Amino acid sequence: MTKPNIQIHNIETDEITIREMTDEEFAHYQLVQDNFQTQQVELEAKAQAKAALLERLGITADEAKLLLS
Amino acid sequence: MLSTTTFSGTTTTISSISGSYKHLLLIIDRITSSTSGSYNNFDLTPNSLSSSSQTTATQRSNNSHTLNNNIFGPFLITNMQSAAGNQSIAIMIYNYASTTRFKPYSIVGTFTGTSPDGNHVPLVGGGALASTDAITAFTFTMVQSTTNGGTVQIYGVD
Repeated sequence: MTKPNIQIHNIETDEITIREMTDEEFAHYQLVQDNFQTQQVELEAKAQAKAALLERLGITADEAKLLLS
Repeated sequence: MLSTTTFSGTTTTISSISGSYKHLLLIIDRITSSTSGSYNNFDLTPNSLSSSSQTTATQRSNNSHTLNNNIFGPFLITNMQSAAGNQSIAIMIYNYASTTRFKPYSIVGTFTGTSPDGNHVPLVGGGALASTDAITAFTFTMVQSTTNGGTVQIYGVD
């Protein structure tokens, strides 16, 4: 599997290198992507719970904002 | 000023940061992503934090307390408008070179995001890197896309 490239700026030498990620760098990259997926699932669940609550209360999102303002 | 780096590709690492100063100031400016019409997340991780042994604790102005490996975790920016180019963020990191103390940080800035579309979303908050390792590198990652410009300037502060 081809790994994405990484740009490395060594600011001591001002040298810029672009190369394929190492295994360790790729592990970090994947961790960040996994965090994103987890966040998306959480956001979706929150949106669904919010919509269900509004329906139970019989009010719109705008009316809920008015109540909380 | 220690450096100016233009973001490229999905991931940019800034390495060999001098430990000669007391604090670090990062100015992140005009980041955009290459996926037109999309909304992207942008991550900033100090050193190479792939384990949970070094964590940050962050309180955002509009969010609950979080624990993560990333500065301002889980993401520095969430749902940034891809082509807006108006993102501007300043991050102050204290005691960054210390090998005995944690590293508090504060963040102020804004990015263009959703709710509503094009809204200038404020970023205000802070926390600390709960580690006694000196910070010698930062890794920036554009999630689900690649960067299309934008810079980060690093200043050493005495």
